[in-house]
Amino acid sequence: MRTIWKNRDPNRCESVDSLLSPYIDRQTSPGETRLVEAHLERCTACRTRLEELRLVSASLRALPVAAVPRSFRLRPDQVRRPSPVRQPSFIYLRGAVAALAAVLVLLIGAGPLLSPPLRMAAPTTGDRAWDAAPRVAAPAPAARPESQMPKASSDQEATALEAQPSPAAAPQTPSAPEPMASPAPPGLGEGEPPATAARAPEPAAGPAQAGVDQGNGVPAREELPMSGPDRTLWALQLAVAVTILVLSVGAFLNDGGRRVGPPHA
Amino acid sequence: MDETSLVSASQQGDLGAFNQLVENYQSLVYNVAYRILGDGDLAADIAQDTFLSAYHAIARFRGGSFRAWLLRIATNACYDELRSRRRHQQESLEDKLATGDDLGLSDDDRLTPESVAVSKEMLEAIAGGLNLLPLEQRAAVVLYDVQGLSYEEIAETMDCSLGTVKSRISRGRARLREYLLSQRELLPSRFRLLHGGETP
Repeated sequence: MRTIWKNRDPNRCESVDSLLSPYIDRQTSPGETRLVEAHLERCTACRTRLEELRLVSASLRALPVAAVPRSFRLRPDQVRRPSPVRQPSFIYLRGAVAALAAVLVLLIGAGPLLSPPLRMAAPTTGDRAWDAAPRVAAPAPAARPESQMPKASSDQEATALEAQPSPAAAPQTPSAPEPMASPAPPGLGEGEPPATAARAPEPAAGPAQAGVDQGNGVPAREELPMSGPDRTLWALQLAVAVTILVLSVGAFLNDGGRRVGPPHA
Repeated sequence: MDETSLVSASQQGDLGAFNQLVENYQSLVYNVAYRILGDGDLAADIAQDTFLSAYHAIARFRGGSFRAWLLRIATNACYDELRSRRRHQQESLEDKLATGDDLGLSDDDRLTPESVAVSKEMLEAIAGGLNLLPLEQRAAVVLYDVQGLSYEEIAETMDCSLGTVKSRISRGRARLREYLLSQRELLPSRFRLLHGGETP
């Protein structure tokens, strides 16, 4: 803009028209200033126009300052409250994911106490209960986009909740599930060698993939007992679940900062 | 405590420090919103939202003019509000203002030096004309002529170049001039235009 004046005809009003306002504000370059002043010396119309623009500016400056109708100080409850402007529903989704992750941590944490007797009590349903744990612990859904998180987690939770009581109410042990815990050691002993061989590489592959695969009901799982490697896997699953919980809660707590940033970048 | 310290404390979550900033700038923010929106109640809502947004975003403030940063939030909020509420109305009025012929202006129409003595009617006229300007021109004129910001600070507030600021202010004033000329019959006789047409 500063160099355009060089190509302008100082005798033409159009050459200086757009420079009059910056000229009033002393925002023209030295060359532009010379161009404007040279033109104003011989153009009455533009001198008048310049004065009119000055009047407009003076009128704007004369506008009164409006009194503030109230204080805009923020109260503590205001800064904690979600803004009504942007996507408040995500807050509840994040909260739901965090709560779900907490439930999963509890379920997995209680796994070692419940799973051996339950699995021995009802091998078929016990396998389902065992399969349910990795699926519940699977972090893969939690790592998906937010919009998919609640649905995937809900499905897993439903499976977990369904699987958890099923061994206790298994058809083969309807009256006393706890006494059936006694056959557990033989069951563990039978399946231990193949379980070790079968499960050893899976933790390295990641609990997430294992959970997804097991969710499809892989038959080989029926032979898997609870063992030392299983406990290692359980520990990994628990760690993953705790990680999900921490990340979910963190995302929930940080949501406020992202939600109410400057309206435009 | 100076502004830098208040900003720093606010970034650490000190609500008291932030509210001191609110006290310092609430009149400016409210008046900018009021002149851009032309509605006191709406301006109050925008001002409140501006400070709430600023509080949550202040951790990401990386220096520079805090006033410009704050006004950028406010003006953007005004844009959003006006665009959602008055788009169709604004377009029609802007189209009408785009050509002087539509307003019955001629090359002989001129404002007079008497207009320097700004009356209530003149202020109402200029405020009314302000509301008819395109948003960016209106904001630039309000920030410079009404609020007294520098061109550089306006460029920072509006996230544009100095050349764009010059252009917006220049075009805004030119349109206001045309508007005042078109409204001269509504003004008292001493504010009417002499050039090319004496007062009746």
